[in-house]
Amino acid sequence: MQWPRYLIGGLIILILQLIACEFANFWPPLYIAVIPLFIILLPNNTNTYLLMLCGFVIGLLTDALADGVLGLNAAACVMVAATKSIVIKPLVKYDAQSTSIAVSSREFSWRKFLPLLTICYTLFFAIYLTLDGLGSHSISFFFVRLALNLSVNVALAYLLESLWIGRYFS
Amino acid sequence: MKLPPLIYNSIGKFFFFILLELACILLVMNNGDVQKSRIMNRVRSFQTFFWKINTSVKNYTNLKKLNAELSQENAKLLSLNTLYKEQIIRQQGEQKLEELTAAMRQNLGDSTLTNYRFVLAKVVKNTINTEHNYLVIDKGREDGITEDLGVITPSGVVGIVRAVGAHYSYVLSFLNQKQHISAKVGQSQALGTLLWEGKNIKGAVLTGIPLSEDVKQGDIVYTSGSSAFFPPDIPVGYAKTSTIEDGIHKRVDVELILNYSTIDYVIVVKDLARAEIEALINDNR
Repeated sequence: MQWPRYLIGGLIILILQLIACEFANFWPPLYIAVIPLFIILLPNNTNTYLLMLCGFVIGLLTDALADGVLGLNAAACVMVAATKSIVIKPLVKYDAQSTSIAVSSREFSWRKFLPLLTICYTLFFAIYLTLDGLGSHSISFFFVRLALNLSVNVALAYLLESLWIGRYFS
Repeated sequence: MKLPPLIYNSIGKFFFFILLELACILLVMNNGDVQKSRIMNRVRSFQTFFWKINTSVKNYTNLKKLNAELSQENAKLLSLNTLYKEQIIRQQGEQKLEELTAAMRQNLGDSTLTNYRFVLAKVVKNTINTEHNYLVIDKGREDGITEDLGVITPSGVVGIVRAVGAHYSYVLSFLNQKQHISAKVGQSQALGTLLWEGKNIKGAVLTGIPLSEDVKQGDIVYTSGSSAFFPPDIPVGYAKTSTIEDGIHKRVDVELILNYSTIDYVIVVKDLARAEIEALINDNR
């Protein structure tokens, strides 16, 4: 039974996210997001309903505890959770999907894991930035902000995953 | 027919996803003021789009009736025109009529001859079922509409423009208990205040008529022109019964001419002299 382990992992990621919100989000256009990692790293065969619920809860907790706009992170996490299985399908073999292996750079190669991270983070920030800005900036600003957030967060997530979180979840 | 489990499962996941996203958006709306106003703006633009389609369909089905009304209006104007012509001939001779007609034709289209400018607008949304009714029309700031302009049709007063967007305007309907219009009635053109009591969309009351004024059943109620919103002499309704109010004034029940439930097009009135009059009043206060 791996769930207590994942629960503790989720809690650690939530704490990391809160620390990031408190100390690392110093420039408004840049948002450091760690919580999508939790959804990405949960085992391959996790039920999508459960995954969406996990995304909703961890997103909501982040919004509530980090003094953000309630629902912003939750909406973005639900998006990642709902599309994870669709994104992962072309990246792993069919038989691997039915096993309970964790999604990590060790199980996948970095060539597969990095595109997965990038797509999931793109979806996360597409929702997050849309709801955060909601037409108050131009479309070009939105794309610049998306590119900036993606490059910083994907690099950070890959680093975190390969250094520690990935090993914990595997 | 039974759906295959894969499709059934996918539909379930999709609806669960929509449910969670909607919950998130509701939370965002309730907790972020900027997000709330932006989302509501988007929702309103969608609403306006659907209202427009709805009204287009209604207008299309209403064309026959509209044509009949226009023909009636035309006939009424023709008979009025003939009446005026006959009066001029009788009083000043045919030569004078020809001179006047020639001068009118020469000046036709010269808008400096009148104090009013008229902008035709289509009604996109019209409510009649509440105590505070409103209309949305398809002309806005970019069409020269500003706040506090009167809105009329040839058969009555519609309301006053209260908010203006780039392409649409919000009109506070006369069918609103906050709305009062200066009106006159009877041979003596006695002035009073016309207001809607919220009872039915076909009736209003004219209050403040002096006791000495004789108001007969069937007398036409017109706009007085003393307010800055509406030009004078627009027929609004017919006087019905009159009663004495507070022992000092007459109160006249009025049957409105305009059918508020079928307004398709309206005319926005811009009084060009209004700014000058208001400046004069403000300077001498």
